[in-house]
Amino acid sequence: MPSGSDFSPSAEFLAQVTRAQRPLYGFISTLVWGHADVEDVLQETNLVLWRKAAEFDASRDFMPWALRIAQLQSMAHLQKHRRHPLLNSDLLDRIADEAIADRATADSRRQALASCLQKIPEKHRRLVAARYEPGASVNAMAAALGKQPKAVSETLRRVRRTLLECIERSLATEATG
Amino acid sequence: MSAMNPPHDEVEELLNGLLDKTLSTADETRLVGMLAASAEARDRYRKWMELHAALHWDYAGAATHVPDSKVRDGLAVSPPLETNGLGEADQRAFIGSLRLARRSLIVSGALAAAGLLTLAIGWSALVQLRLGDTGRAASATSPRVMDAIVEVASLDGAASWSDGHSVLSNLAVGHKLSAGMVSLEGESAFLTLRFDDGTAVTMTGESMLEFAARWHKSVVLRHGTLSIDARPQPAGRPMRIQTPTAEVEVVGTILSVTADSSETQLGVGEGSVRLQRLADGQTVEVPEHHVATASLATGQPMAATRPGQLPSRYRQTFDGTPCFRCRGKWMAADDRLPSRARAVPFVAGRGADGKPIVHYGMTVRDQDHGFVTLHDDSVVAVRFRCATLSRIQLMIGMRGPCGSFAGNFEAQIDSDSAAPEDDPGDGPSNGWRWLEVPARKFIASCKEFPVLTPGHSVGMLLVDTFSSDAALEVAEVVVGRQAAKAVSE
Repeated sequence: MPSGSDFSPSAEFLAQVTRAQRPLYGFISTLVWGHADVEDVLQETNLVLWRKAAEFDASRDFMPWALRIAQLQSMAHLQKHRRHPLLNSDLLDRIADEAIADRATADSRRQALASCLQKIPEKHRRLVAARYEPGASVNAMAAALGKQPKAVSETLRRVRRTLLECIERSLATEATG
Repeated sequence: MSAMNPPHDEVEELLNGLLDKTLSTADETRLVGMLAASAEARDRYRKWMELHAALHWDYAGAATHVPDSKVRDGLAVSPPLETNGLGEADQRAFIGSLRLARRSLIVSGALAAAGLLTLAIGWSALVQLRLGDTGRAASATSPRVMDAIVEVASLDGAASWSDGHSVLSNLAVGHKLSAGMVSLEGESAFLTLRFDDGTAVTMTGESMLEFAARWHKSVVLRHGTLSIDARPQPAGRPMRIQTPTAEVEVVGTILSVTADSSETQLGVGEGSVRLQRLADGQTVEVPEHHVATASLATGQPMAATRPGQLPSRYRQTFDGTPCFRCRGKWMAADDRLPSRARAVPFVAGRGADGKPIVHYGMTVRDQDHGFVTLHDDSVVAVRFRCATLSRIQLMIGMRGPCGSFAGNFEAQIDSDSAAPEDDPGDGPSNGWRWLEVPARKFIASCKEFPVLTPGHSVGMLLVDTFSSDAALEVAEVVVGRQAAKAVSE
């Protein structure tokens, strides 16, 4: 089997990596706090996936393998940056294990989010858009709106809860439908 | 609810605070405790974090997306990506495309599910396009016209840009860029972006920033160092600089910002700046010639201080603990050898083929606005040794008032022409030599900063052996106005 720097991943493998980006990002977000850090870990994970392409057994499920690599990269990142030291490895492992076990539901939840976003009031959609645009922060939003950051965050909390409840309802309907 | 399960609303409140970065350290500790103790808390945590991630994923890039209807012709054209085979360049291009190529939707009026479906379809199409018939991770090959908002005014080192659609991996002076992300590589690298109104943003060292100019100019410094010379901004639309730990509003001023994941240092050369600590929202006005720091720790009130006059002498012997901001492999003293820093590989730039140019060196940094004042008669001295004869490069990164970037200056010498250290009498000198370079012997590394200005300070000192690993070790660095060789102190 080819290995080392002269090995070129197959188109199928690259497609798997590409399709995995969104779930990997979501998974890493449960282990590493902060958008920029999640992006960094995702980048590192992609590099490792590329380098380990030759080791991947195509007969196996790609995602669990990729998620484990992301888990290791997350741990390495946290150790390197000494992030939230209280989030010990046992807890991280537990969160990772549970996230991997819940993988299929997580995908369904992401799909349900699209329709749930459509169901919330437009002003809340705008708020969500403002919060999640690059470089946005609650503090900047509060300054722009002339409100206290806490008030903006509280509104966001209600919107997030509404979205999560909507997602749960969608999944429950699917399950019974 | 069982005793193990924390109150529902408390978990939600903490999770929401985590997403909005409003949690105190104590809150974080409380949350972690809840997660460790309760499966239900972990389940809720996972769902909240995944929702947050999904929204980030779908909205990231929205601000930098340029709808076709808004494209102005002829402003700038980014060259096609390299498609020179499946080597490291391909790997970088592919990885970069994965990271940045996701498209998103701008929420205005109706954010529709159809939009998200479009996103998914677009993504699939992108994958197909990128994989092509050959299976190669080829990138887009057609030039892209875009709304330029900054121009690369100066550059030394390797820099790349992406707007999430196109990637320009070898930036050059004169390139005009639309909103996006710029990544700068190299210990001594710098890059200046100039906005239409003349506001200049200079990145130094290994830095990464995103920039946009919609309602106001905004810069997100992921890590690294920025110097900003801002022209007066429109009323009510200050320029905003965000880092992982702080936010800065700029109306019109000269300032420097250094940030990593846990701390932001701000120095103000002219004007006044408001610095906000994101951990607790506390703000401080930082007046001219003052500095302030925002970190994740919220125990101390924020304060702006006027930095004292920097000393004219600096000595680093790597004793005790590793120098916090130095780069190199720290090695503790033993019976025969002093504490020292060994050169490590670092990316000094990139070749035309995109491959990294690796040098071996060590870097001394201290306070980011500078750690020693340089005078006409200053001398930089380095106690070092090499395993093999090598060309040694000394580079100093200069800082103007309150940390603004003031250029890199370099000197080179063959290692064997440096003076061997005297035999201490009680054993061999172990190959140590002293390299001494007067400040006036340093020459400018770039034409944008041609003159080494006396009175400016040194913010970075790099010692390297270029591309050969000569096992360079540095045991002492001294900058002083007199014979700089160390004296017993």
